[in-house]
Amino acid sequence: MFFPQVFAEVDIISGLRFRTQLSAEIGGGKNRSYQYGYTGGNNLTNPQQATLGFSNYSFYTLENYFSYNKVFGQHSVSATLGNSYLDPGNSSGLNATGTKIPNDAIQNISVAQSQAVTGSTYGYARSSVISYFARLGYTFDDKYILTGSFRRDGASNFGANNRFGNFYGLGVAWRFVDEEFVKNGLNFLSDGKVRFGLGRTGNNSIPTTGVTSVLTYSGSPNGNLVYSLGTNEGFNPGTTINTLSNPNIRWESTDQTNIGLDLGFLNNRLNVTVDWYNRKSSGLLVSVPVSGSTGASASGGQPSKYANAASAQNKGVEFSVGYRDQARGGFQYNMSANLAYNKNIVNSLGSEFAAPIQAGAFSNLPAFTYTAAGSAIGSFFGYEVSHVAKDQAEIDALNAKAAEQTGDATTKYQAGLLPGDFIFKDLDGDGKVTSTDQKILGNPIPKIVYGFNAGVNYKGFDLNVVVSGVSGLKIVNAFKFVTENESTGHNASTEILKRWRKAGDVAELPRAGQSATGDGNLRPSDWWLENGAYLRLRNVTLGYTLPQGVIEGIGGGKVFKSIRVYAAAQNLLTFTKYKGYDPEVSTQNGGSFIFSRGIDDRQQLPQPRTLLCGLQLGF
Amino acid sequence: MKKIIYFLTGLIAAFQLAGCDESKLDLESQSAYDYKTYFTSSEGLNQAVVATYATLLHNGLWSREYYFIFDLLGYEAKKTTNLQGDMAQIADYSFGTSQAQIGQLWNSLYRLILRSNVVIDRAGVWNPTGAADQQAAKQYIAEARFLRSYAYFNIVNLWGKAPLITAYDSTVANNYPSRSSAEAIWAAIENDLKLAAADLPVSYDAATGLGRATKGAAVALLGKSYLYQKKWAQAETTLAQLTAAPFTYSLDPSYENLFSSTNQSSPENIFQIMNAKWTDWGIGNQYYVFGGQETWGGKATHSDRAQEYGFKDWFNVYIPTTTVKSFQYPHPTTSANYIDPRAKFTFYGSKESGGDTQYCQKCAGGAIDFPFKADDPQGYYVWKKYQYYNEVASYGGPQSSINGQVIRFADVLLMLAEAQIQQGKTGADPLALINQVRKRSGAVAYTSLGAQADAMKIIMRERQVELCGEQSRYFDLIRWGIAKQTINAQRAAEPGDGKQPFQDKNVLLPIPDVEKNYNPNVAKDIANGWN
Repeated sequence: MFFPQVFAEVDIISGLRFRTQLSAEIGGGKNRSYQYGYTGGNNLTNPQQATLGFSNYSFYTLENYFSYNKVFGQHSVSATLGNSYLDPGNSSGLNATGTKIPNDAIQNISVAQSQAVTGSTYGYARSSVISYFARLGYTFDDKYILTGSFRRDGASNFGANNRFGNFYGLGVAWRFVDEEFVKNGLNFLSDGKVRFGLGRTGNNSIPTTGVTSVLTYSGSPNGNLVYSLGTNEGFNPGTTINTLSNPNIRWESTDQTNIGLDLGFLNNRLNVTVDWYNRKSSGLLVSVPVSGSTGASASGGQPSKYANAASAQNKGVEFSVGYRDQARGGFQYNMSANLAYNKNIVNSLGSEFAAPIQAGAFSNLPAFTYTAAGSAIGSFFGYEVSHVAKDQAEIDALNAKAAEQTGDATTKYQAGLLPGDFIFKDLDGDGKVTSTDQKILGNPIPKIVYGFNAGVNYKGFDLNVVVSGVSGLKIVNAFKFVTENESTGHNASTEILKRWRKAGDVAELPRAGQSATGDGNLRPSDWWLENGAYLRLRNVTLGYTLPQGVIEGIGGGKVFKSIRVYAAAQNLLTFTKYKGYDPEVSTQNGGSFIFSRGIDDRQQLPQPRTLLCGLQLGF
Repeated sequence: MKKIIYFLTGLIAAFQLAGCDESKLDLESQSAYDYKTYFTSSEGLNQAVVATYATLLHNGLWSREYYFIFDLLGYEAKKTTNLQGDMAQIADYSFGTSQAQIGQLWNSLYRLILRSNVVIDRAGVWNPTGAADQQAAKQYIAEARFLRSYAYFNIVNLWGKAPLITAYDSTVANNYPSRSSAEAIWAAIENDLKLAAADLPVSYDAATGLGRATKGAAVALLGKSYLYQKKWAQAETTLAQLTAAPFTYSLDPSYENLFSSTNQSSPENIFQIMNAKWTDWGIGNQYYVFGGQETWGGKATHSDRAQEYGFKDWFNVYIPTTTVKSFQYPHPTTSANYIDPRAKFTFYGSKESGGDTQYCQKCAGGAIDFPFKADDPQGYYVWKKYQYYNEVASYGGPQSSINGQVIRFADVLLMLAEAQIQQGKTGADPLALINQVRKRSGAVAYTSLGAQADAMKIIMRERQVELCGEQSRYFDLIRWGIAKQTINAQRAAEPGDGKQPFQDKNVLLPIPDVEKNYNPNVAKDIANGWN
């Protein structure tokens, strides 16, 4: 990857400068793999094969702007006016697969006796965006700071009528520490500033083609859509469509208000910052799953449609405090801590979708998340487990009660319930467990995010520690599908010993040989959810910088400027109650970050614990 | 130097002006065509038709799940201990709205409808002037109508009321279509099939067109639709058309050939699923049936039925002993116990059962005795139909080229006989039709069918025996209204089963989550959380 750049600047009059700049990014990759022959689960045999692929991309950005900076006595003015063009560039790739490889002695595609191109891509590296922007700053006496900005962005992602969005920002800050009354009356303050900000930003992160119009589909990679016709049943290529278009899709916008306070004490050795914010996003750009009857999906997939689907709000407070000092003998240290609280709520689903958006299905189980006005976006939704049914007598009693309550003798408390199954709670109190007994069970958005950072320097040694954590969230532990349930032929963990085995057992887990879909014990419920809080020692680094005298001893001091050796450990310790591999779960494989967040579907590799030693040479 | 800077600035500024040209925001895909421009030629539209056929191999349909679902539900297949996970719930009738295979079946049938609608919509827009192109457009629309009605035929029989979508809308302005009545869906099916029958050719050039929907296919499905709606007279006249010119269907002289690797050219096929043999990993993935159709599965159209059912391979199902027993009945004339000769082509088993006792007849090493396990408490009768163990001792992976059959001539003859019997005609006509089918496989002829009730019993058994394992029985039992009693009685008597899982609600499949979770108009129109 490299980043060529050329620019030119012209000073027109004093303080006014014109700059034009062309910058580009060029990159690419190569991937190759070799698969040994193996027999997988369910006796699926796979022979050896090799793949080789190349890809590359490039694009450029052109910026053109006037900037003006001038100080008139106590008045300081700055202004910028310009435009920019983000070129979509190009990206392409080619992949080949080789099969019929005689043996494992040579492990690349060149010896494969059957070779085929198994995919090609060609398209834009990104969306194209044309922007016009203006920014104005005014400062009086370094105390009163005013900034305003406006930009108009047009993006290729949207249809001609919705292409442009207008965004702005307004900021006011007051460095009250410089006021006389503070200097006199509150002289323990070494820094003090209040900030107020208001603004609107936009988001266009959807594919640049195929959203506002419908494109042809001939398989993925192209050409894989075939059907056999004719006596010899040769492959005939097919082309159809498998997406829905949304010509009215527009920018997602976020209106943000924030108020902040920066304080310094003890000659700025101690710094405190507090921020309050309220971010309202409207028209969130997402791919929303839609009903199967629309038919617009690939085999095995659920149809979906890009839309401005929901409006949501994040409100919160961020707090950070830092302290740095130097003790006698060159002992320097610093530490800082931060804490943020956030609350997310969906305000509406917009005009296109009336029904709650359900997503996050895995392992043939139904959707786990539910997005509707009034709850956090992508909340987990399902039943509450009561306990494992002990025996038939217990079920009969429940059924008798259900029949009595509903006045219908055939009513069962819970369909298909057998001894050893989970009994779910009848939350709506109608005497039986039905889909209306589901509720919001939690969400994967942490309420609290916090961190701690400390550093020490002494006589050439330096030590740095980073700790971070989250709390107030739930995550779905989909590992339980294999580790704590025996419905399929998978290996399980020793947890499975806690399962129900015979009538009368008071067990934690349901029986073996239970249902494998979401109609039985595995239905979305609080059983899957775990506390996703963790505290992680993210990084510890210990370094030693060689004294100057040693460096000067090497080649007369002309070879190196500095030499530092260090050892670092990343992801050293994690404190969590989560039973999966890694509580830092981002999102379901292939799912949207908004609707299928926090589902640990066994596809995500846990973060490695890394120990590394290094030598840093300065020349 | 300054000059150069000015020059560069000017150059870049000029470039910049071009950059601000807002047409640069009009990006056309470089790897796919706009659907509006692509399907405007015979070739482009033909590809849209091919893609519609290709849906027949999608999840829930004929590459894998279709035979599993309906063989298990119709109890022509009984799970072995190899059948685990969610598919076992179909065998146990313990499935609900989240059953993956049923959701996939729903989604794939509607995908078949969408692709058909695209063909019909685009062919209408194309509006060619040349006579050959006009003929082609007519044929493509007719093929799409046939495929769309095949999808709705499944939908209306399996779910009753359902969304009825008969036009293509690229934006889907209505995210939430409501359920239409079964009558409205049947009317759409009849309408489509009449129009399709009028415009489809009687046959295609076999080298390139075998497998496409023909006039006969549309007439057969129309007759079948009448029969399912108990419109007996219309069923009779429609199905009878297939026995006369211009149609040239005939029963395959070899019953065994119908289910073999060469069955694509049988004169008996009316509509079949084209499954080509898998050849190489570099072309297609043997396991494309597990959701890799058209994507990671590469180019593949084989069936994995042989591998899934085959006793020397994955062996997921037996053929129930109660089904085996249905091949034994009183001899039509002597009333002695008679073993139908079709048993030998349907399953492997003991000599007494009538099943085949040898396999690998065409293997280099010669025939091998079928290792019947007399002490197996489950029976140990295993599938032979749609297997090719006569050619190899074991497959080693899904690669079968044996085509699935949607409608074949014997089925038509039996439906025709049934339509006559249902109208009280139990005489020579239906007798001749039934005996025609029996004679082909060497079964003894009936001398009379008796009264209407007896004649119906004969036709029911005849369909069970002739069409065993062809996903016909489940649909037959449901439409005859005897699914619950028949399946529960059979399972109660079946060794290793003994359950009676068929509940009243099972006459329809549940509306799957893939629809109701995303469509409130359907969700509010579901009774008892089922259908």
